[in-house]
This record gives sequence, structure tokens and C-alpha cells, in this order.
Amino acid sequence: MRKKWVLSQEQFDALLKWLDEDREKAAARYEEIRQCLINFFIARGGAADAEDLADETINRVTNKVEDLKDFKGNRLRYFYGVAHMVLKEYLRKPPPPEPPPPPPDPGQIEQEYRCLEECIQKLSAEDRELLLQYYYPQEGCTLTEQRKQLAESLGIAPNALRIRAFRIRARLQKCVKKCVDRSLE
Amino acid sequence: MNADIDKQQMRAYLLGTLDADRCTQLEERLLREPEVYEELLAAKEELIDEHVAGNLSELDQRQFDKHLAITAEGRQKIRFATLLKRYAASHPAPPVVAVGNAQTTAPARRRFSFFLPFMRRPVFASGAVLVVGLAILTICWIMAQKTAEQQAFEQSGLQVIEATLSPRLTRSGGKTNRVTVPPEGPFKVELRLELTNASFNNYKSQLFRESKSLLTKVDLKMEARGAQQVVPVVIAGEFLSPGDYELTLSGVLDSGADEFIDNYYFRVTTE
Repeated sequence: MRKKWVLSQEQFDALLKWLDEDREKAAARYEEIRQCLINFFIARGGAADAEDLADETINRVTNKVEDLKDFKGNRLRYFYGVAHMVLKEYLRKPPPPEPPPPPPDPGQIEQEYRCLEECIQKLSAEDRELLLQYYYPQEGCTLTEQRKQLAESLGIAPNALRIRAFRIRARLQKCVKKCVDRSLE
Repeated sequence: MNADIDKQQMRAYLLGTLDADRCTQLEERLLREPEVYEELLAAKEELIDEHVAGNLSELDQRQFDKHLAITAEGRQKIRFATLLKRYAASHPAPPVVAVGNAQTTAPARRRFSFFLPFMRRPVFASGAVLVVGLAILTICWIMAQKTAEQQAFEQSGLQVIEATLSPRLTRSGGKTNRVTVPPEGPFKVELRLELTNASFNNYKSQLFRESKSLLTKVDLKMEARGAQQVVPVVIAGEFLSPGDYELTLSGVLDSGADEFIDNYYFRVTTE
């Protein structure tokens, strides 16, 4: 598998335009579709190369975008269709496993931690508190009990709290990634 | 769909243990329901946190290593979760203030603004208290009746219908687990759920009809029936009128958390 496609900026722009006329929405949709594809390959036996396979699927669709201008259906469904073919080819002849990557050096981890501290400070006090209370139990309290109490104190359903905490965490993770990327430039 | 089943299926999907049919069902839902995408990502973060805290069962840990920990994205998320845990250890959050405490948080205070008109007019308040009280008493009475009946059935020597259920047989697959019950009269049904994961000391099962939860049974134990290990679940006949049902089986971890094992579909028909 592991075809090394080289997509031009024009091709990529055409893909984004096919996903949504609004470029910002298209970029978000692209991220979402890539995540769904990675999960698809993880769930169906292609975990070792899930990211490569997801990119291969996206590249194949990108190469077809010109012919898909009149496509009216759900874009993700089309990606899933191509992903099934990519998976079939992959499972027929999976590549030999690659050695695990070396662990990140301690300096990099410390940099990530500094970024985390910086990004947590950028959260509102309310979000910061909720994040820590949702994910980390205090002494003498189980996480389940603590989440139940937290949902009650905020007057929201447990699943709504779960999604609220997840969104804060996802925002934080994005901020940390940006900060780490900046430090590497 | 029930939120617990959703969560368990998403975990199984991410750990690569969900069968192909149900993978497709979940992917179909991802196409139709945008909120499912976010739920799936939240389930992934939770698995990663459980891995970092060392709370995954042996089986889940093995699947986690084979499926989530080997992707670059998975490794990055594990590192993030580890750092967040380290931060939380050195910056403990203030304790959660329970509802009813005078120092409750602002959103909770806003929630009680609903009761202000009642507080200002005591006549309304007494009426409301009376209505709510009666409603609570009625609900408690109905629930107590149901529970008492179910317990009485379990302890009585009534007619017992026995059936062994195989996991994941569905009507669409051509084969169905069938349970034939008498058309009338009190009876109880002992459903023996064939086990695919016998690594728990305790099991929990939930009975559904048309996605509505009817009954939850806890503290269930595994038994050997010949070469097969099963978990018996006894259900009073009144819960089982003719129709299609679903039973979910979960293992209960030492931490008290549930771990989804399998679904058992069955059809109840009368003799």
C-alpha cells in the first residue's frame, strides 16, 4: 500500500471546495472526515497503518474530485466507499510491521508541558475548573461520583457534561499542538 | 439508542472488537447524526485516560496496544493525557460543591430561579409540594410493586421457562433466539447467556424493548453448563409479552465500572 501521492495545492483546494464552499467549514469537515477514516481503519483491522490508509483514501478521492462535481450525496459516505476498497487491498497484502518509533526526548516532553501550562492559563477559570474536576478525582471520591455531583451542581445531564468537558479538552489539545509547532519553528 | 449501549459499542469499535455489521451500523450513524462523531471522540479520550491511569482490563489493554497505541495520533493523545494528569496532580481543582449547599456554583443558582414565583407565593408552594409529593409517592409505589413482584417470582416455585441465548443472533441474520412462553398464568424465564468473556467475577444485564430499558439485573454470576459458560438471568413473565427484545451483558470491573461484552437478541412468542 503506502503509495506516496503528491497532491498539488490546486488539487487540495479543489477537495476543500468540494467539501464546502466556505473554506473554514471545509477545513473542519476535512479534519472530521480524516478522523472518521482513521477510526474506520482502526476498527477494521488496519490499525497499524490507519493514518497512512486514511491519507491514501483521501488522496484517491482528491484525484477524482473533478469527476465528482455533480455528486449530491453525503461526502463521508463516498469516502467510506473508497476506504472499503483501500482496506480490501491492504488486507490482501499488509506490509511488514514497522519498528516502533523511538520515545520522544525528555526535552520535547518538557516543552509540551510548558505549552500545556500556558494553554491552561488561557482557559476561563470556569472551564479550567470543570476540566480538572471532570477528568481527575479528588481524594476520597470516585470519578463516577464526582462527575455525577458536578453534573448536578451545574444542572445539566451527565452526557451533556461529558461533551462539554470533551470540547474544553479538545480546544486545549489544539492550543498545545499549535504552541509546540511554534516552538519547533 | 440507550447512551450506555452507545458508549460500550463505541469503545468496542475503537478497540477493534466490534463485529463488522455493527461497525457498519455505527458508521451509518456517523453519517446521519453529527453528534455521534463527537461522542466517538469523547469515548476515545476516555479510553486513553483509562490506559494512562492503568484502569483498563487485561483484555482491553491488549486491544488498546494493538489498535490505539500504535497510531501516531494515539501516541500523541497518550502523551497529552499523561501531561494533563501530571498537571492535575500538581494543581488540584477545588472540590465539587453538591447541590443544596449554600456555596453552589453560579449556573446551579440560576437553575433555582425557576422556584422564585413559588417562594414569593406560599399558597402556590404548598400546592406544588403536595402535587410533587403525590407524584413521587405514586412512582415509588409502582416501582416497589414491580421490584417486589420480580423478587417474589425469583423466589417462588412457579413454572420456569429456560432458554439459552447465543450472542449477536439477529433477525436480519436469518437466525433468532426464540423464547416460547405460556399464553397466560404466572411464570418466570431463565435466560442463559452464552459467555464470550469469562474474565469477570460479576456481571450486569439490561433488558430492552424497542430501545427502552425495562429491567436491570446486577450481581449476576457465571455458571458452567457442560462445556459452555453461561450467565443465568431470571426474568418475571410479566416483563415478557410477545415481541422482540435485546439483552446487554456487561462485566463489572473491581472499580465498579461496567465493560460491555455482548448483545443478545431474542423473540418471545406464545405457545
